[in-house]
Formats: sequence, structure tokens, C-alpha cells
Amino acid sequence: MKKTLKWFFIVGLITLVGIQFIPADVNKQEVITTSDIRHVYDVPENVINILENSCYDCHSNNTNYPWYSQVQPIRLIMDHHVEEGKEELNFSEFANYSERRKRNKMRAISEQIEKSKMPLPSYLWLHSDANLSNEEKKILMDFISSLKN
Amino acid sequence: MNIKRISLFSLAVAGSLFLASCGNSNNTENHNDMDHEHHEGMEHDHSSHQHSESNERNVSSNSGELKGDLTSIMSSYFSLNESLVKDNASSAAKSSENLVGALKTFKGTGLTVEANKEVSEILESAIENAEHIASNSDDIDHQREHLVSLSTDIKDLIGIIGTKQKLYEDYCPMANNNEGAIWISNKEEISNPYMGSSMPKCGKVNRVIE
Repeated sequence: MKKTLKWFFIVGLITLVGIQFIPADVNKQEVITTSDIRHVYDVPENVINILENSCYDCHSNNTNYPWYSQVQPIRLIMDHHVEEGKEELNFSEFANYSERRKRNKMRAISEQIEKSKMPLPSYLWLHSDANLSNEEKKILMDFISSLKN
Repeated sequence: MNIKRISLFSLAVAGSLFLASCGNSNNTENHNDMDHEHHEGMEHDHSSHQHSESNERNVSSNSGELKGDLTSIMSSYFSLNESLVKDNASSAAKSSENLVGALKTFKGTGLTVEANKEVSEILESAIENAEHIASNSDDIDHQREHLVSLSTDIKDLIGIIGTKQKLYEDYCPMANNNEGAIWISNKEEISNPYMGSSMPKCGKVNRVIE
């Protein structure tokens, strides 16, 4: 019994060391793209700040990687999140969406925020500063409804 | 005693508000029209529309030949709506999967360059919406959120392509978090995919499409 436990531990350790060599994706363009949402609409500074702080990690071409992102398997999970997030909505590529899709996206954003589905709870667990206060939610919602007029 | 009276009164007020927001009767029609105007303004695409959009309940017609065959798209869309009327999220997801397939194989014919561009944008958006409905078999609210834009896509697609079938553009002021939403139906009778079994008859016919 003791022996099995020992082997279990060793194999686990080797796996943990081994997966550190899995190459990580790097989602860092370092520049604000010409197709960024701030070039599509007249986005106020405070709205941009909220978006960058709470959304851009997964919904833009620039992820702000924390130190623990260098550790596997955390990075694998993170890369997967970023990939999925960008596919759904990419603020860096916003200008490339058709008018119809832009409208859909803005509507979806306001719904996700209103129902507190975004930012994802699993993301907020480690990024509590990305949590949207009621005031910040209101700023975003007001901005989105201003686009409808 | 006083408290009882107040609660009775507020119940009556709430009840009448509730009835007023569900636009079946004639006396709420003006209110609904205003709602509708507002709604159309928001949902309206800035690019070209092939049909005229009036708030009067005129019969709009797609004169000329059909620019494609929408049969399989419409039948999947209708069965999706039927599933949502019955609050059946998993069957809605299945119908939506068929809808994705139908949308992906659709080809318009004899379209102008401009109309062709709009059709591909509509299809792209409709596919995205339908894919979300298909992958959210456990979240009927989210499915219904995507039905809002999907239905606008379908409406606009019919506007360009045309239909031989008599269709109805229905409107419910309570859907979409009380912002109102349309859907397309092949029956004159209202069955509301947004409210489901809680309020299947809420809504009215905005427009007859034929």
C-alpha cells in the first residue's frame, strides 16, 4: 500500500515536471489594432479602461499574463479560454465584423453583463480586480444603449 | 385591514400592467405600435433592405421571382420555434443544428452584388446565432436571447429572397427583457417562442409576408 502511494507520487511529480515543457500560446500583439473597437465607436476613456481591465484578457489580441500563467497546466487552461473568448468576441478585430454582427455583439455584451455571466466566475476567482461593480456595469450598459440611438 | 387593502390594490395595478404589456387586445394597440416603432429603429440595418418597412399592418409582397429556396431553412426555424414554445431546450438545440446545416448550404440566385453581400452577412450572423442555440441545450434563456437576432436575420433574409408561403411577422413587447422582439411564423395564430408555456399567446401579428 505504501509502495503504491510512493509510485503514485513519483509518477505525478514526473508528469507535473514533464508538462512544463508544453509550449504555451502567446496572445500579445502589443499594439492597439486599427480595427480595435475604440476606432469603430466613439468609446469614452472610462469605458475603455473597464473593457481593458475586465474583458481584454480573453477578448482581445492582448492578454495580460500573470506570473502563474507560466505554470502548466494553468497555462493550458488559460490558452483554451483565450482562444474561445476571442472566437466569440474580439475587441481588437471589432471593425472587421459586419454591421449586423457588431449589433449582435453589443446586444450580447449588454445581456451577459446584466445577467452577471461575464466576466466568467472562474476568471474572477483569480482576477478579483476584474469584477464589475454596479457602477461599472452601468457605465458599460449606458454606453451600449447610447449606440442604439 | 389597511395593509390588506393596499396589497389588493397593488395586485390589481400589477395585474392590469401585466395585461397591458401583453398586446392582444385592441386598446393596447397604440402602445404596442409605439413599442414597435422604437424596436424597429434599433434593430434596423443601415444597409439596404429590399422590402419597405412600415408600421402599418400592410401586406408586403415580394414581387418578382424567388431568389433562392428557403424551404429547409424555414422548416428548421419553425421547428426550433415550436420547441421553444414547448420550453424544450434539447429539441430546440437539435432543430437549430439542422438550421445551421440548412443555412450553410443555402445559395441565392440572381442577386445583385450588394444584395449578395447582405445575404452573406445575414447568413454569417444567422449561423452564429443558430450555433449558439444548438450548443446551449441546457440554457433555454440563452437560446431565446439568440432567437432575437436570429429572427431578425431570418426576416431580412426573407425580405431579400422572397417566399411563396404566407408568413407572419409576430411581435411580443415583453420578450428580450421587455425590449420587445419579433419572430416569423407560418400560422396566423400566435404561439410565442420567447415566453413559452408561461405565456404562449402573448404577442400580435405585425405584418403579413407573402
